[in-house]
Amino acid sequence: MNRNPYVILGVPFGASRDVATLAFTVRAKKLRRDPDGATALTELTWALNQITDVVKDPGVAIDIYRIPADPAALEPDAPGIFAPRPERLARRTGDSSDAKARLAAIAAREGVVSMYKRVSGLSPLPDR
Amino acid sequence: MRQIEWCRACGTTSNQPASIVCESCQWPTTESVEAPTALGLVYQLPGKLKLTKRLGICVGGTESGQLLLHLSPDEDLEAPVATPLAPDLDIMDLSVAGRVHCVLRRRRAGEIKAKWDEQRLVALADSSASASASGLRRLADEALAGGWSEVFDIVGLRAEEKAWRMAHHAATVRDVGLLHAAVVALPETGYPTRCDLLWPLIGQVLADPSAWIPTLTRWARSRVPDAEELLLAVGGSDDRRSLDHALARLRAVGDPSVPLWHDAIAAMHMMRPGPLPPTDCPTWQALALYEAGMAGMAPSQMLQGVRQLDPTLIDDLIDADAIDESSDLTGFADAAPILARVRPVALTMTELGRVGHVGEQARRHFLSRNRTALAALDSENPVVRRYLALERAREGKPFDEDDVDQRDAQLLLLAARAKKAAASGAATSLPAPILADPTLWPIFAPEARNGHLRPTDEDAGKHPEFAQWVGLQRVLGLVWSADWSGAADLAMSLKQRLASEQLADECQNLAAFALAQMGQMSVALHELDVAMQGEYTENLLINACLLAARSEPAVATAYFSRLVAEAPSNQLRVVALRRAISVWRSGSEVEFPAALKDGLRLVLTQRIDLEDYIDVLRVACDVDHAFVRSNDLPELGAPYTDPRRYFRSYARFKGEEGYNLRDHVDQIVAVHKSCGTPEWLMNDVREWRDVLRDLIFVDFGEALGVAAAVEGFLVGAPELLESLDYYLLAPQAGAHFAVALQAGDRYMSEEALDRFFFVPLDKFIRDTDRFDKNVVASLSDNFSLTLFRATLAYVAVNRDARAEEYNALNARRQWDVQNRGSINSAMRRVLDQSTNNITSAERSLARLRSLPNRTDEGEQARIDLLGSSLQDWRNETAKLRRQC
Repeated sequence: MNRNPYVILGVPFGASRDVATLAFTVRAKKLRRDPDGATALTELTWALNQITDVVKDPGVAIDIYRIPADPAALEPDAPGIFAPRPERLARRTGDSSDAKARLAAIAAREGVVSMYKRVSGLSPLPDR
Repeated sequence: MRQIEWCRACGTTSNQPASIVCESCQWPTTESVEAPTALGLVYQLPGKLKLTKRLGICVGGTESGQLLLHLSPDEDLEAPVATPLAPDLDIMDLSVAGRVHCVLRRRRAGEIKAKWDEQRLVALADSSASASASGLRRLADEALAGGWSEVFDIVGLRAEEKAWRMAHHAATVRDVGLLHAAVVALPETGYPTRCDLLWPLIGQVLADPSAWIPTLTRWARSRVPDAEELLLAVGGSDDRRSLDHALARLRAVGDPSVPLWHDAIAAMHMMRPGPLPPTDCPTWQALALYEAGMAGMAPSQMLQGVRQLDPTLIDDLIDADAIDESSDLTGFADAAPILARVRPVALTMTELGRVGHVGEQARRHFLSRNRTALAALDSENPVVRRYLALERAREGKPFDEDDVDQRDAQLLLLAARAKKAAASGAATSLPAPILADPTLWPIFAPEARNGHLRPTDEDAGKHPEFAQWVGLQRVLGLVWSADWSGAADLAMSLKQRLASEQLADECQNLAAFALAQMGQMSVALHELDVAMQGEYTENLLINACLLAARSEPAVATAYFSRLVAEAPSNQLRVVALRRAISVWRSGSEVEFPAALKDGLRLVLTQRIDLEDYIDVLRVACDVDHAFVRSNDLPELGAPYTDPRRYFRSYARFKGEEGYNLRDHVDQIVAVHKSCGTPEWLMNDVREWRDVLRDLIFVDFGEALGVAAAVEGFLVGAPELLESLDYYLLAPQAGAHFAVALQAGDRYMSEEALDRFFFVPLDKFIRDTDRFDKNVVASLSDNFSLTLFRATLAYVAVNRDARAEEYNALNARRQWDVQNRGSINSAMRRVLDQSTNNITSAERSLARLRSLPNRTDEGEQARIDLLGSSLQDWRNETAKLRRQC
């Protein structure tokens, strides 16, 4: 198998430069204390270089084994404190009395006109 | 005779109803009925010659009971009562005066031809109408109905009565403008039924009430009956009274909708749901639907009915749950503010920004871990502060407990303490509240991966998903620490216990990687095959391709073909296709896999990256040229048009009999003219030049197809041939043509000689400084050989032809004594032609002599041979000329 820079750094496939750099820093720190860590450090450096400079677009990289294959499998999909429900916007308008009164006035006028229209069809003319 | 209850002349109501004259104006208050009469009727009489008809109008009767008909100022005629009436006049029902005025108007209009004395007839009308008030009133009404304004104007009624009758007429014909003009002329008092004229037109009056309000106000002040109600209807501001009056009026006229209105008005007054009023009351309907929604009785059409309501009322409905997340808001001019309240997930970030919904924006930034965007929001907003606090807690940083509610703060603090304990190794399990909230588990992912977190049996029993999640994280940790056997063993045992396909697939993905690292490729690939049963991600398939690439090319090709078919993006599809082709080429399978052909065709129907398009098209020409040259290869427009044209030509050259190299070169030239010299084209042009060079160096006359292709470049785009190729290929092609022509006793035209030899040669002579000495010598030799060969062919063909012509003429001269003079002339012309041929050939000889670096013996030998040959021909020509 090809060497896998993400696995070497211990980061998910497609991890950003920042994440890879952080992982490199943490692992390299441990290796520098290890007298036998030179080879591994070289490996880490190669991996970081791959992620930061070589793998331009992980989405189309088909030479690297993808771990995880499904990132969602490692992120529980369930409600909880870090998966808050959608935020509903609080009411911003005030009391509706005036709007309702205006509506009723317009409605009443509509009713008056409607009823009188019916009246017109049923009203005879007076004698000449 | 009919008694009327109020006086039409002045409008007052009599205190003595039985009186026959008005006490105020002395006009009669009774109406008499006119006795039937023939006066004013028009009769039809035969003309004097019995051929025509004459019209006579009845102006009286005789003692004998006959009609006295007026025919002209000079002629009255007695006629029997049985005399026929003139047809189509339709005046029988009019008064006498009305009849006279009607027929006189029609006579003036030319509709009736008669020589009547108009003054006499008008006098008859006047006397008839003036005989009674009823006569005048009847004439006035007839004038209004007929539109005889000049007659109405002179009718001798009082002005008030004429206004009344005009108003009544206007109401009859529903002319509200005329009605208004008439009623304003009525006196302030009297005419008690004037308002009744308005009721039949009340709809029109209400449509433009402003004109009526001053009039009705005056009438109401004068206590005209019904004026107050009309004023209320037209311009009233007391809605309750207006509605009640309207309902009363509706009831008075017997309308069947009274109960509906009654209930609707009652509901409105009490602000409770009621029946929906008719559709011409959309606002009232909206109000009724609003009330229904507020009462929890929202009918299905409510949303459509309340679309235009004020936002405060819409908010009322949202608060009352009459509008909720399931509501269909189609048709709302701007649904975003409503969706922000009931279904914020339906809004884009742009829409959220537009409606100012910072809370949902913050939530989304938090979920996508976009801390920068989250921090850029209003930090004074409590919702933003809450998400910022949650963000810090998720990252293991301290947060302000006041920014989250107390219960959340306690849980987060508990998680922070548990994290500390797990990270230090002091604890291997988590408190129950954390186990119950899966969103907190990722905080402990590092501990799960390094094996510090080990759920107890009790925890695993209560929270099996947590135990599975820890197991999967541990496998990942083993992979990341390169413990391949540990990872593979744990994954193989864990996969049996995983409840969901999603987790099992990931577990097998990890197992396959670990197994592959241990060299167990086929087992690893099997794991991925199993994982890909059912649903799977593209990543899983890519991983399978990677492992399969280590297997036989045929196996790998199948996986890559699948990836090509299923790739979610064109970019990935192209990458996969290229890899698949590479894998196929590395194998021994000759036939291009059908599944890959499908993928290849699919890619070529998309507007992918141009470079990819060209590469794939180039491959397709090799493996699927039938598709490339067919019309199934779509025209995608610029910038794909030129590559498509070029490769279609190439595919035709490869697969179509009769489509030769010259045809393809012509297309290369055409594409070059269209798009210049893009790299992809020039790469191919270079390859084609190599091909031409490889094929052209055969015996002269044997590579005509190649020579034609070279000619294609020379004619269309010589700039596509680099100088070296130009100096090599042009004369070579020329020599091939010359030799081939010689076989048919033909020779090259001057134009062809220029194109293939002289133009390139002249250019070469100017260009020699650019080349190495050896190259110049080689090119010189090439020119020498080809031009020599072509010239020899030219000389041979022409010398033979001239000799044949000359000998034929010479033979004829022997016996055709009579034409000997003209034959001699013809023979001299042949010799002239020979001289011209020799001169042309000497032009080639001169070019051969001018070639640079002419050190080769062969070149000199060709010059000598050609020179002596031409000299021999010239000597022979001179000798023959002396004999002519």
